[in-house]
Order: sequence, then C-alpha cells, then structure tokens
Amino acid sequence: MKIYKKMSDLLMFHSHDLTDQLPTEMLLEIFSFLHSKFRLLTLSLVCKKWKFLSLTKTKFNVEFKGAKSSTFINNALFEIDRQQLLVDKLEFGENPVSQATLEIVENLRTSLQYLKCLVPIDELRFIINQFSNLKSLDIRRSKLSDNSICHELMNSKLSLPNLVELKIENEFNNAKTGDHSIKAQLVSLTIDGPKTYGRMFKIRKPVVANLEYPNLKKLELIDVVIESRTLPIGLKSLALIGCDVNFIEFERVSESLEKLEINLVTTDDVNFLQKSNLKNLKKLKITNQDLTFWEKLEKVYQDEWKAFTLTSFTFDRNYSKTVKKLCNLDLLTSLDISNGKISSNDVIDLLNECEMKNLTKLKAQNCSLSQEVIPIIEKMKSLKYLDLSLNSSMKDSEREIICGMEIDYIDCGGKNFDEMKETNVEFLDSLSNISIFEPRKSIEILETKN
Amino acid sequence: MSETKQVELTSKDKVSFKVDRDVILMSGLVKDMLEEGDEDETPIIPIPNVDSKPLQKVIEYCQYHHKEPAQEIEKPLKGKIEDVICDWDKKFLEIDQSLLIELIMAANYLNIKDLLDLTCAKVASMIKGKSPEQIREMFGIENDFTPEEEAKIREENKWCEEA
Repeated sequence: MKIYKKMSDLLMFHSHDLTDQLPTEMLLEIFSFLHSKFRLLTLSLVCKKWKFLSLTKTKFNVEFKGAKSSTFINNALFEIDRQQLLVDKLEFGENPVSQATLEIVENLRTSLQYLKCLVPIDELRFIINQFSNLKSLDIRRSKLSDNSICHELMNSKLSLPNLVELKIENEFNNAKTGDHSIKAQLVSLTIDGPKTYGRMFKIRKPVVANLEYPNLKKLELIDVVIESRTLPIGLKSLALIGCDVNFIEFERVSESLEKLEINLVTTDDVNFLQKSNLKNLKKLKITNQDLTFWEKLEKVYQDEWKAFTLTSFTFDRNYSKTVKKLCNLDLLTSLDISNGKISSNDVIDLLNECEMKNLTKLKAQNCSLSQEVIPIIEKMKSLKYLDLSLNSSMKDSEREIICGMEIDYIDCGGKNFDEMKETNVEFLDSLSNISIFEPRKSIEILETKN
Repeated sequence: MSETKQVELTSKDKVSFKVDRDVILMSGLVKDMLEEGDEDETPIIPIPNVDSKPLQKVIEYCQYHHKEPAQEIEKPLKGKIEDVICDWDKKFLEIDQSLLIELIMAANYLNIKDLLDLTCAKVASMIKGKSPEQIREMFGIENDFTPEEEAKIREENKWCEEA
C-alpha cells in the first residue's frame, strides 16, 4: 500500500532532533492531542517525517454547508483525495452540487474507503451504496423520499453490511423490506418528521406505525405521531421529541431502558409511562414540559421514585415536587438545569432544599444566578465539574470566588458566544468545530475522536 | 501487622529501587511479570530499557497516582495542559525536555497509560499554537524541505486554511 511504502522511506531519515528518539507510535500519540487542522497546516511543514505523520491516522469530518461554488468544493475534494486523508464523515449542505463534484465524490471511493458517516444530498443518492464501510447514514435533509430510493436503501443489506446507524424520514421506515432488509443490522435509528418552514403552515406529522427493528438499542423519534403497538425490546435509549405518543405496550420495553428523553406535545401522552418499569434508567431528560405534565407524572409514579437508580437528570422548565424528588435521589451524580425557563429563585430553592450529596457534575448555564449560589456550591463537597457560564448577572468578583473553589473543572464565563468568538482567539483555537459561513463558500472541518 | 510486599526494580544503569508492589502494579508490564513469576519475598525485576533517572520519576508518579487516579485528558487539547491536570502533575512535569522524552518512552515500555497520556499531552501542549519554525527550534529539528516544497505544501493545504 502506498502509505506504508512511504513510511519505510521516512524511517531512513537521520536527523538528530530530540523527538527523533521517539518511536513513530509515540509521535502519533503526541499528535493525537492536537487538532487536525493544526496538524495539517503546521505540523506538516515542520519536516518530511512530520508531514507524513501529521496525516497518518488523522481523521477528518468534512462538511460543506451552503457551498455554492463547486470549484471550491472540487478543489477541496481533490486535495482530500490526493492526501489520502481518512475522512470519517462527509456532509453536504442543502445546495445542489455540480456533475463534476458528483464524479469526484464517486472517484473518492478509494481514498474515502474508511468513511463511516455520510450526510448526502439529493444528487448523491446513487452513490450511497458504494461506500461499503459506511456505519452511519443521515439522509434526513436529502429529500430522498421517492419509493424506489426508500425501497433500495432499506433493502441494501448486501451493499451496506456495516451500516448500524440510520437517520431517516418516515417514508423510509414505511418501505417494504424483504430478504435483504437492513432492519436487523441497525443499532441506532432516528426517524424525523418533516421540518415546518415557518409557523404559519403546519404540516401534519407522519404516523410511525411500524418499528420492527429487532436489534435496536437506540431510538430517536422526532416530530412524529407514534401509533406503534410497541417498541423494539432491548432498547437502551429512547428519545421522544415533539411527538404525539400512543404506545399500547411499554412495560416490557421500559425494563431495559437506561436513557430516556421526553419532550411531549400533549401532556396526556405521559400516560404511556403508567405501565412502565424504569428500574434500569440511569439518565433522564425532560424538556419543555408544563406544570400539568409534572403533576401527571407525579400521579404516575408517586412514591416509586425512591426506587429509581437515576444518575443523571436534565430538565429545563417548572420546578415541581417531582423534580425535587428526583434531585434527592442518592445515586444522582449529574444535574443539568441549563438554558431553561426556571427562575433563579427556583434554582436556588432547589439547590438549597435538595441534599445532592453525591453530585459530581452541575450544569446551570444561563440561569440568571449570581452571589446567592456561592454558599450552596461551597457545600457540594463531591462536585468535580461546574458549569455556571452565561449567568450574565454574576459579577467578576463572584466569578473569581467560584473559580477559586477546589473543583476540577469550572466554567463561569459570562460572555455570550458571539462576543467570545470575536474577542478570544485562544477560545477559537480550542474549538473543535469550525465553520465559516460566507456567501460563496463554506467548509466545516471537525475533529474526530480517535 | 503484615508488612507491605515490595518489588525491586533494576534500571538499565544497574540502580535498584525498592517499591511497594501495590504501587508498581500500575505498570502493565510489571503486573504481567509478577503474575508470571513465583511469589518471591521481594522479586527483582530488571527494567533494561529505562535509566535510573526516568525510572525514579516513574516510581514517583505511581506512588502518587495509585491512590489518586489521574483524570483523563481530553483529545484534542482545548487549551494548555496545565488547565486540565492537577497541581501535583503540574509540578511533576517541571522537568527538562530530554527527561520528558525519556519519560514518554519509559511510560510506553512499562505500559502505564495515564503517564503516557500525561507526558504526550505535555509535549503536545508545548507544540500547540507554535509555528513550524518555532517547533523546529524547540526540538532541534532540521528543515529538510526546499522552499519550493514548502510552498507546495502550503498551496495543497490552502483548502483547510480557508475553513
């Protein structure tokens, strides 16, 4: 293979630098702590050996957003091809790409042989099946919804044998499947309803009636009506976001759930929880729910909360009796109340009234907190991670006090994101997700964790 | 009261270090060797690839971290390494560059992942934000590119720079 031939040539270099004592693997280990963009732009210019190593095992996620200039995309793709970069994720925005781009992407098959995630657009539909190593496919924005495409993808077991994560619209879920169905190989599935463009035109939510995915562990349903009789047994993670829920059987499914996210449109839908056994639930996230929801939830569980083994809880609206009970759970180690519609007084009440003696992580961004939170934090002896950023009413002197506490990670920056982008170069350098939106071109490069 | 079991490590330059067995079990290599060998009173383990100076630092690290597990260092580094490690580690890393490089190799040989991460992240942190020229100067690396080759690489990577 070309890449290894180069490696043997490189080992013949005899410089006398300090890092030369290090085996190649150790240099790669050092480089793995540096951002891929820095590796490409800076390390590759240090010397020939570093140039080669800076690209070795460097994985990129490349995203083209709003890119209208095909020449720009094409040049970028050519370079990706020539440099044999390992691209984990290739994402195209909503703008059409040219025939030339399509041809280049087709040719990229060899250099993108390790591509794990593809977010294509309409024009790229014909090449999806050619990336046989694909593990993740997100086609929600691609408007690929004609019957033949849906049928072809959902029956592509032979061409996409490694696919385990799929993000689709409901038309794909409804497609008929046969012997080559991919349903059994999927571990993670997201079904997304159509996006409404403007609130004036409400589009009817699609009905999800069939969820026969026997090995599914993670299911995310967004903006759909769920009419399915049951959910896949063995599910570990379930997210119901903006959904109308009408499960008939939930009890058996609930036993294996470790993570549950609820953001329901109709409060009455909470009744599906009535016959549930959430004894293995570790993470619970409840967002955008009104007081009626919490009251109903209180009726559903009453004193059963005590038996919960929850370790992480996230909520953003309405401090209620149930919330207090959940926050008082012995095993709770992580609480996130960021960016919600909870008043600062309620947040203070909650933190004051609940013992949370084992809490190691507290995230309360943008909660209008100030000095009154300091004595409460001081009492939380187990805390290791504290995020009180974007609490703009906090004074600098109060921030200094908090930053002086013996907590491993503290963030109590008060600036909003835009201000930080403009003024803090170091902050920008630390970003792992870079995107620049220009009218003519835009590319996003994201670091991939090794 | 029973005495803590000890292990004797002998460095490349034949210096011996007695260290508590529990402490040095942080090393995957030593752990494997102890499992294979007999239950001697104080087993002697030769460490032929590591000099006494880095070995002493390794023992110092294990003595502290076998009770205080090190925190994982996130990849890629988002700031300076000093922002993400404990005070003890900060002081531990106040060493010259050549010892730091020796420590990386020792951690790799002895298979102590946390120490390897710490030392590699330290070098990465030294590199981070520097120009190619500064990096070459820091480590005494010779620039083996011709000006034309350098210009070509810059041109090739322009697409990434524009991001």
